[in-house]
Parts: sequence; C-alpha cells; structure tokens
Amino acid sequence: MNSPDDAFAARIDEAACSLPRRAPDGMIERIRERAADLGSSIETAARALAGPAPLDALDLRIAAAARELKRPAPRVRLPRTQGVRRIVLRSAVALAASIAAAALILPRLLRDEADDAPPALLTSAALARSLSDEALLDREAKLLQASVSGDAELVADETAQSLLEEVAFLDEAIDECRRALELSQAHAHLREQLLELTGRRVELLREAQAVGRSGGGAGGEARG
Amino acid sequence: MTLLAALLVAAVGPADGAALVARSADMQRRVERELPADVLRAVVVHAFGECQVVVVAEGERPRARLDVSASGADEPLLRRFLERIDLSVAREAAADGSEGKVAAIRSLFPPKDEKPAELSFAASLTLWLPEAVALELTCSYGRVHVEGRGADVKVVNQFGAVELQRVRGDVEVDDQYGAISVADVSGGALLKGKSSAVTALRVGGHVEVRTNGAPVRIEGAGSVRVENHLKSVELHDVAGDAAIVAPFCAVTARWIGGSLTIESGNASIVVEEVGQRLSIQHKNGKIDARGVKGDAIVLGNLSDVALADVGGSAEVRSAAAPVKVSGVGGRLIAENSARTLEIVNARGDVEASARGGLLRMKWTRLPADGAEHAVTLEGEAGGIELELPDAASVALDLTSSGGSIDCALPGMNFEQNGAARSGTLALGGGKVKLHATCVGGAIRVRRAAAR
Repeated sequence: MNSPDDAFAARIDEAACSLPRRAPDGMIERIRERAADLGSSIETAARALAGPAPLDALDLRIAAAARELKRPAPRVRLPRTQGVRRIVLRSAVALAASIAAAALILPRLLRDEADDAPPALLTSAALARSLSDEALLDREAKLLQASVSGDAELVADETAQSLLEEVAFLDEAIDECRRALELSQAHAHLREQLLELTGRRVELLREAQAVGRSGGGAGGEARG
Repeated sequence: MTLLAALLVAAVGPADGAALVARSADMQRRVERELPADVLRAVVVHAFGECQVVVVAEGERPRARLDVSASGADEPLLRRFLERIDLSVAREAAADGSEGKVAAIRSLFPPKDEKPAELSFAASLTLWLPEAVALELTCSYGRVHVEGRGADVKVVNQFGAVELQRVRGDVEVDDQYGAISVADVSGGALLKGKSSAVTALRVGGHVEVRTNGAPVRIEGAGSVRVENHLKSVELHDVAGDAAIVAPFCAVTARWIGGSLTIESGNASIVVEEVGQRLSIQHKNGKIDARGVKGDAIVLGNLSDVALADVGGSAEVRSAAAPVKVSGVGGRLIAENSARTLEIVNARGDVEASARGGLLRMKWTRLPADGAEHAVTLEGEAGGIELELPDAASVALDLTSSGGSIDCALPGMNFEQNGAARSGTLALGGGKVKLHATCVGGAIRVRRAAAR
C-alpha cells in the first residue's frame, strides 16, 4: 500500500511530466499552488496522526514549512527547463515528506524521551546541600519553638493555638517523611518534600511568634 | 532517506522484559510488561516514586513500565538489588465476580531489611491503558499524573502531588502532604488531603474537599462543599449550592448559582453574586457580600460587615463592629453594638438596633416599591440619624430619652414627657411607619442630599 508521501510524490511527478516543453506563464505557479494544497493536506493528516502531544517545536516547524509551501511564487521568471522544474518540485516533495515523517515519528520519540528520564536520585553533593538546608531550617524551627513555648500569652490566643496545632500536624508529617528517607536517603522527591514541610513549619512558627508580638489574633487579615 | 530510516528504527517500541543500564554514579533498571487489553479496571500499587497513567495510542498494546534508579553502593550490590525489583501483572475477578476483568499491577521491591543501608533508590511507573479502563491507584513518595480516562479514577498517594486531567467519570483522591489538582472531570470529585493544596477546575458534578492548612481553589463545579483550616478558599462559577467550613481561612466566593453557606472566622470573606440564599457565620474579620438573589443571613462576632444588593430578606448581626447594609429588597433585621450601623435604601420592613454606636438610615426613595412598610429603630447612647428623600411618604414617630430630637424638616410636633422628648411628623401620606427610640442619644432627621 502506498504511503501518503508516495502518493503525493507520484502526483507531483505526474504533473511535472505532463508539462509542455514551453509551459505558458502561470502554469508553474498553479502547480506550486497545487503542491501547497497537497502539502496542507499532508500537514493536516500528520497532525491528526501526531495526536495531542505538546510538540511546540514541531508545530513551529510544520507551520513554517507550510507557510513556505503556501507562499505565492516569486515574480521572477524561472528558467523553464524540465530539469529545474523537477528539482523545484522534488524539493517540495522532499520537504513535505520530511515534515510528514517527522510528524509521525517525533511525537513518539519525544514522548518516550520525556518518559525515559530515570527517577531522580541526588548526587552526593546535592544530598549534602539538602541535609545542610534541612539542618538550618531545623535550627531555626527549634529557636522559634522555644520562643513560642515561652510566650504565655499565646496559650490564650485562638489564632496562635490554631497555628501551633498545624505545626504539630507538620511535625508528624516530617517524622513520616524522615522514616521514608531512611529507606532511600538520596530520594530526590522525598528530600524536596522534607525541605518543603520543614520550611512550612518555620513559616507557621514565625506567624505564631508574630501573633504573640502583636498581642492578638489575625483580626481580619486575610490568610493564604 | 537514511534519516527517515533512522527515525523509524528509533520509533519502534521497546520489547517486553527488563534491562539494566549502568551510568556514571548510579544504575538503572527498566521492567516492561504488556497488560491485558480487555479489562474494565486496573488496580495499581506502586511505591518509591511517581506514577503516570496515559491513554495507550491506537494500535499499540496496553503496557506498564517500571524505571528504577539506585545509587550509593558498589556496582555488584546495586546490580543484585535492582535485579530483585519487579513488576507483577495479574488478572483478578471484578467486584461483580466477572472473571479476569481487573488487571492488578504492582511494583515489587526487596524487603526493607534486605536493602543495604547505604543504597538509595527511586522508582517511576508509567502505564499506557485503554481510555475506558477505570483506575484504582495507590502510590507513595512521588507525583501521580493521570490523563484522559473514560471511567472512574481513585487515587491514594503520600508525599506527592496528584494531578488528574480529562476524566469522564467520578474521581476520588486521598493525598497526604501533596497538592491535589483535578481538571475537566465530567462526574463528581471527592478530594481529601492532609495538608494538601487543592485545585479543581471544570468539574461537572459535586466537588467535596477536605483538607487542612493549604489553599483551596475551585473554578467551575456542579456543587461544592469545602472543609479547610488556616489557608484561603476560593470558589468561582458553581452552578448549584456551595458550603464552606473554614475557620481562620480567607474565603472568596463568586458566581454561585444556588445557595452559599460559609462558616469561617478570623479572616476576610468576599462574596459576589449568589443565585439563592446566603448564610454566613463568622467572627473577627471583614465580610463584604453583594449581589444575593435570595435571602441573606450574616452573623458575625466582631466582624466588619458590608452587605449590598439582596433580593430577599436579610438578617445581619455583628457585635462591636461597623455594619453597612444597602439595597435589601425584603425585610431587614440588623443589629450591632459600639460601632456605626448604616442602612441605605432598604426597600422593605426594617428592624434595626444599635447599642453604643450610631444608627444611620438613608433612603433615596421612600418607599422604593410604593407599598406600606414598618421601620422600627432602637438606638442606645450612639444616636440615630435619618436621611429622607424629598418625596418621602413616611410617618415619623420619634422618642429620645435623655437626648434630643433635631429635625431639619418643617412641621414636626414635639412633646416633652419628663426626660423623654417625642416628635411626630407625617409626610406624603405616611405610607412608611417609622418608629425610632433612642436611649441616651439624640435623633437627627434631615433631607437626603440631592442626587
């Protein structure tokens, strides 16, 4: 069974071969327009086959090639030899065929490439940086915790209590995350999660401390 | 031609099986399995990394692929460990007993105590499933991404975000400490999170969210119920009813087609356009609500309240905070203390009480609907101010105990009875009966400024 590329090439070849030795003005232009229409059909078919994959770069290339094909012929007089015509037409065929083939194949290649990325593990240097960041956040959390625990006013403050409940909740999450990391200490995603949770704990403790300093609840200030 | 051939060769899919690849500092293993194509449901259990589920391309076989990386040990140890990791695929009976209609897919790892302590590893699972297959996925320590399901999807995850897109069915997500995001779901969505930020966009059915300490945003839903704590809740474009229970959360709700109920406090509330009833129970924050087609109830404690354009009746109570109510179509009950209570262009009956603060009432048309109404005002210490339009049809009956009555309109009849001073005046046929009493404060009446 002929591929769309073959069919396209055959039709253009047929048109080129049927040209009279001295084609009247406008005939080459009409054939180029015909080629452009066929190119457009191929583009449509290729896009349909390519599926919904987000191929921005490929889209741009297809659009550029399509624009090129659809552009009107320049107003210069082309040499009217069969050989040159054939070269021009064959170039168009080759370009359209490449576009179609790329549209058929690249989505799969790009998809597989995206999926091919192996699951991430931290390098020794990145792991050391992560542990150091975590230690810094832990130290800050401990200082804030000490300051908040020593503030008797916070015990009676509803907002502060609510924030501290959330801190206790995060402590639980951090412990769980650390237990998971015992099984795979360079697990990039878990390390990232741990830093995020530790950062959130610091942020909440800072908010609770600020409530203590201001001597009252949130008082209508929007959160989140 | 050579290029095309190379591209075609590269496009051929990998065969079923497993492979080990050593890289510079770590080692990878890939396990691939074909999946049965005729199942109705896939039950998937995966750990130690992300899981992606996409629709298998036409003409391709459903399949699963497990990619594992390991590092931190010498090569033979890594190799031995990776070789013990596997991906199992089995057929099971469906809940209705139909044999083999469920594919059970599970990533398998060596027992914890058999893993070398220094070795780290992570695993990602990718599934290519027919669109019509329902999915039940349990995952941990990685992101979950599901796209394009034509059936129900249920996901349980821990320490990783869950993203569901384009699902024709119901979705259920239970995530611990990871963000949840769902978009373009035709059915309902039950989204439970432990400290999970939740985003739900364009969900056709009911959306129920239960989370804590993380923001919630819902845009486009059939109906909604949200429970949250400490972080913001935003709702837009809800066709039916919406209910929000969110202490310490800023709440924004816009374009709610049905009724809206909010229980919140200690943060601001913004409401715009509610198709039916609005009910807010709140404390200590700011409430700004406008455009309610049905009735409105706003109970605030220390909350600044601004309520405008209510088609039905309204009840507004907030102690020790300023309250402004304008454009209420039905009966209005308003009460506050210590701060100004301002009522503008009430179109129905009014009962208003302000203790310790100024009670101010203004009309630009009185009565706005041409009908008879009763207005009863009680002030204490703060005084009462009335602003009446030129063409008002009102009968004033004013009493100030220990204060005074100051009327800028001519014709008021005054009476003194001990410390109490009374004044009466009928204007334009007196369709609205306005009775105002103020203890320890003055009553002032004046013309509304020309518009």
